[in-house]
Amino acid sequence: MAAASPLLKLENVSREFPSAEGGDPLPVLRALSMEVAHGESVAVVGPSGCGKSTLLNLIGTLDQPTSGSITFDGRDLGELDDNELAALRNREMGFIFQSHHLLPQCTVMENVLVPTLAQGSVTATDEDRARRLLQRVGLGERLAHRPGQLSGGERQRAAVVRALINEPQLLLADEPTGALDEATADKLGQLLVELNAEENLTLITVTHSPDLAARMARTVKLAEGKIA
Amino acid sequence: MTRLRLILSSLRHHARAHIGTLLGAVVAAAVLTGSLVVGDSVKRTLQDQAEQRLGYVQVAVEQHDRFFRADLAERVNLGEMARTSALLKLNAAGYRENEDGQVAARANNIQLIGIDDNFWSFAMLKAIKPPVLDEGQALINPRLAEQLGLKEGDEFRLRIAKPSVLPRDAPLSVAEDLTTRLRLTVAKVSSPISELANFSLRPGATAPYNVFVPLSWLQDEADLPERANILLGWSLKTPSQTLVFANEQLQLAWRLADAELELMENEEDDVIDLRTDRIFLDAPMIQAAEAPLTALTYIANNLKYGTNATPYSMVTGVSSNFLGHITPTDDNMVITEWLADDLQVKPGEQITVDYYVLGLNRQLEERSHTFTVSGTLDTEQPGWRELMPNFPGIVDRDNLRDWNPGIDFDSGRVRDQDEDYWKQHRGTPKAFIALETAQKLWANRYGEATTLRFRHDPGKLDEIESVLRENFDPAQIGLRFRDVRTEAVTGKSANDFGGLFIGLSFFLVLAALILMGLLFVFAVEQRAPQIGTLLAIGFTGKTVRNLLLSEGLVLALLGAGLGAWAGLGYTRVLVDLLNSDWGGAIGNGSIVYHAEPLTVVFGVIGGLAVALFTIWLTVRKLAQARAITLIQGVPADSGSGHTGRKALITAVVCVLGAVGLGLAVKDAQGQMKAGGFFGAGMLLLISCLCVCHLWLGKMATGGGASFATLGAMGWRGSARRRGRSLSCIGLLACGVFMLVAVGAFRLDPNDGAKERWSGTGGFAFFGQSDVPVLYDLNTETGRDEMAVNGPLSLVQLRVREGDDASCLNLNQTREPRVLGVDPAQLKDRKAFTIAKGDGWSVLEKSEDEIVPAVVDMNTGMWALHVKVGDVIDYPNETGGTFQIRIAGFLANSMLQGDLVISEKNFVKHFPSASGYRVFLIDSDNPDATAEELSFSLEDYGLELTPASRRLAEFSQVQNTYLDIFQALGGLALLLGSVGLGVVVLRNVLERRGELALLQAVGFRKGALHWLVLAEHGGLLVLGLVGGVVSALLAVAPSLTAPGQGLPFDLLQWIVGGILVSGLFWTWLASIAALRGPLLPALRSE
Repeated sequence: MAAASPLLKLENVSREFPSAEGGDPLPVLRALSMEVAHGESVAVVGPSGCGKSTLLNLIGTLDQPTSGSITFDGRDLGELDDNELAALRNREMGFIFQSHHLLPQCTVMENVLVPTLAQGSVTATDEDRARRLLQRVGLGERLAHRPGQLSGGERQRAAVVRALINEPQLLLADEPTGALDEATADKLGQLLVELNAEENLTLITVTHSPDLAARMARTVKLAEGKIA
Repeated sequence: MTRLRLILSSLRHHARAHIGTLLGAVVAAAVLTGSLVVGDSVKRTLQDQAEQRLGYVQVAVEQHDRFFRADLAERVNLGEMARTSALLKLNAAGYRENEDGQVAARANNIQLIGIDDNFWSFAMLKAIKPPVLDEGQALINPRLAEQLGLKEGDEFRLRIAKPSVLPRDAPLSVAEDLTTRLRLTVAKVSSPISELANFSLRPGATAPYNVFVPLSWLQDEADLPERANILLGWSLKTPSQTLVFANEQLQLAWRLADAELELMENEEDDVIDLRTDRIFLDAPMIQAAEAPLTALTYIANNLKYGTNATPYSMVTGVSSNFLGHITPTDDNMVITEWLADDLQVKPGEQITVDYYVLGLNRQLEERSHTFTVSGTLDTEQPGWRELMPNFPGIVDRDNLRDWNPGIDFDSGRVRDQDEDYWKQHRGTPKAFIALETAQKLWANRYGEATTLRFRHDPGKLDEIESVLRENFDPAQIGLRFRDVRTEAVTGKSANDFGGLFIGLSFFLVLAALILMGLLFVFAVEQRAPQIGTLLAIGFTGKTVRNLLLSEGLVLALLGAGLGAWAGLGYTRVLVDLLNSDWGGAIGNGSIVYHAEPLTVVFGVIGGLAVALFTIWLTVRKLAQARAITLIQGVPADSGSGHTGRKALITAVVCVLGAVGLGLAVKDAQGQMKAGGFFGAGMLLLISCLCVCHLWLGKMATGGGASFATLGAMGWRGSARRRGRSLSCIGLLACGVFMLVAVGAFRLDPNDGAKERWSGTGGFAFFGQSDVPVLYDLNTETGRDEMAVNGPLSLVQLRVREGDDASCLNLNQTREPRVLGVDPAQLKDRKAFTIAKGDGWSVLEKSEDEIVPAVVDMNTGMWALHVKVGDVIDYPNETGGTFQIRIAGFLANSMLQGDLVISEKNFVKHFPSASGYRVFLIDSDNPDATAEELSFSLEDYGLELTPASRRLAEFSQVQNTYLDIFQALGGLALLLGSVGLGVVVLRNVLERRGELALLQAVGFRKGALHWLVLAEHGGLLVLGLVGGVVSALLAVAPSLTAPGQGLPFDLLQWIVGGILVSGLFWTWLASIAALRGPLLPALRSE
């Protein structure tokens, strides 16, 4: 029986950034290769500047590698154009940032539904799912509230639901608990793990938090742009 | 949740941030709409004025120096319910005396109009009965009433140029009794709206001075019985249909008497003669008549044979068969027996004929011609006596010694036998010569025959008249209707005032848009992380851009709507200012406020378009924005090396373009040169902005100034937001450029006013008379004739009345006044500056019958819309048109509004326009000259205007427009400096953390203020320097034009004002931003 193909495959991925005044480019990731299976949860850890966020941005198609290839669900991301990448991010990936970046002008419910607008319009199914997920994360009573009326933890939970609204295969979280206190961070970590199991999500989170990393099935440690 | 809901909730949430954007859109739309509505207001004003001056008049015949029979109005049938009316319009000068008999008030250029009851059918009378006028009573219009201080029942006097059927310049016409005085009582000051008080067939800058009197009374007073010179028409048809129909009817209705022609039936002599009170029959008439016999009779001062001489005799040139079997040819002469006896001359011997010819200004020149006697005839034969035309001062005299012809006459030379001859034979010619020879000697611009003779047959008279009416087009003597209504009521102005005010407000619109764009960008930048998130969750850059554009569209729509509404208020303010402080721009007339709904719609669309375009410019880069950077709070607009290279290339191309353009137009003239240099200045300005862009880019990467001082650190800071900094520099530079460049076009009428090159031509006075002066006042003889004392140096110009094409008249003009001048007189004086063209001598170079003309540049460009080399058609006196080529432009002259052609061409095309009515007068002692001329030429209605004042009146228009531009530009710069303040505030607020850090490491707050000032003061200085340098290049060529120069005062004020205002706003913004403790900002970092 052949092994199931991975959801994500990185082969010799490098990323360099140009330096000021025409100097040598600054390498951040160096020929990094890794695979992530369907439904797997992975924590990416390492010291500041080791390339964690860069790696996450490359996986999330917000950035392109200088060399190497990234394959998502069998598709080479380097061969997709901007529109296809946007559609991919919209339908098959979810993002959670350290800061929630909710739209202050929209209610919690609306914020959650915003991604559905990117490729079309909101359906009743979308609204049911949003309501169910918000209920699931404990925001069932906060649907009509605006971000300014929520606590930090609540905002981040709303951001998590926003990331899940289009039923993505992959959830990418960049320091999701970085701006939260310990208790709230703990709860959010638990939520992510539960959602990973419930929604059959593949979860990759970049974190400095050993507790959050410990909740993931696998930990990848980066150092100087390589897997240590 | 929908996209619309997302847009609306964004708008609601960011309402405060969008207020600035909205205000910018409102200002832009308000200025655009307001400017367009000024165009509507001018149009409506001109339409109202046209309605007031024309009433119901659709078509009109207007004769210059000719008269038709007033009953032509009854003969021309324009159909059912149609109206016609004949008027007699004469030029007059008027005055009112006070109780002591002193002149209390004067008015020149009055239209004295003889009317009958038919006239009132063209007025929009409110009362059922029109005003009733008795002899000696007058209706006057309000403007004249105001000028002379007259009210109902008051008496006033008019002096009119007594018209003459025979042109005053025609040979043998009498130059006496030129004026007559009328005493009138005001019956009523009539209403401009309902009583046609401002009646005029020509659009003018202001309402005319009008006096209406009974037609028959005026005909008697002017010695023009049954004559009229204006025929008005109206029918149920459209004006253009009426025109065609009226001219067809005119062709059917005209009679010989309408052309001052007379068929004289002489059954006794068996002849019918066609003659005219104008003495000379012109060529078209001669051709049309197809007469078998033609004669040209003239007065010989002397017929000499040896020592024998016969004075004051008629000599007639005759066509073949005129004398039966004898026909004189070449220089042969057939004489009567009386003359043969008197001179004791026989066939084969020679007789010398002395005669006068009349020069252009009634200068008599005696010439001689010698003939060989080829035969002798009876002293008188039937039909000979009638060959003498009705020479004024001769025909009605009983005695020869009482003659008073229009030539030097010495009654002492009249002998008894001459007197006897006159008594027995009257004007019977004493000699006959060949017609061709007579025409060579005596034909003139008025005609080439005095009698056309037909054999008398029964019914012949009617046949001749019928042939004449069939062959002769009455249009050739100006008997032709023209449509005076269509163009007048369209309200077409000389210039598109809507466009003009958009131009004048251009910088204000630009400033509002730049400010609006800046504020929108700030609002978008504040939302950079949210925009980044949208991109991260699957929105494409295009979708995000469109979402923001949609927000902008709502703001632009709202702004355009509110702006259009505010624009109507802006128009009201502009109209109020144009009717008061800015009155100079519209010749001190007045305009009424009027807005067309469609114009407001255009304003809304225009405002919407420019606002949306500006917003698009600010968000267009979002399509390529990177989510990561946006999420990190870095705005989409961050420069790259590519734009730097583009800027460098653009800068180099623009500099090369500026140099190239400067070289290309170096030797050009006038508008092209000014335009070329203005373009070069603009290119240099763009180049300056590109260099700033480059330099800021270099600074941003640390490649610029060293970091040794706080100031240098400030400079570095200014490069952080290159777009913002460039917007500030651009706004200030454009503003300074426009204000300085335009300021240089301000005219100083006193600049070199006494110099020949100046706009006054170096003349002391510009004189205009109501009555033509027939003599050359430069000569002693001419001055004696006119009773002018002392020497005088002046240039006299002939006048063919036309539309006022000066910039004082808002109406579009098609037929400007024409002046005829001897070019040599202006050339010798080197008077005026020819901005384009080869000097005054161009007037003497006629090619292919096209008449060269010189015109003031402003008149040419703005009123007539012509350029040098253009050819325009102009109506001549004989009903046709002739072509005028614009051969030169005068720079800023007091001859604005007129086409100047050579006198030679003038008299050729307007032979009936007698004498001179415009005078350019030199004087070393202006007061004495003015006193002498005003006294001597009082009867001629001479109005003397100091040349510098006349020029100043014209300059006032241009200068007022510059005032308007600068006022609106100043307002724009105020917006610009507010924009700078906003940028400073925004920059400092964004960097409070950074400034807090500086404070934390030991900088005092004062030093931080200095840092902020240095950073933004640099932008201010860059903007000012770029603007001034470019502007100086742009105006370089115009600085040499008369009355123009570098406006140092203005430059100082503008630069100083902007510097102070800019520093003030910068300081204020830095105070506001640095107020309170900064260290908390550090913690929030």
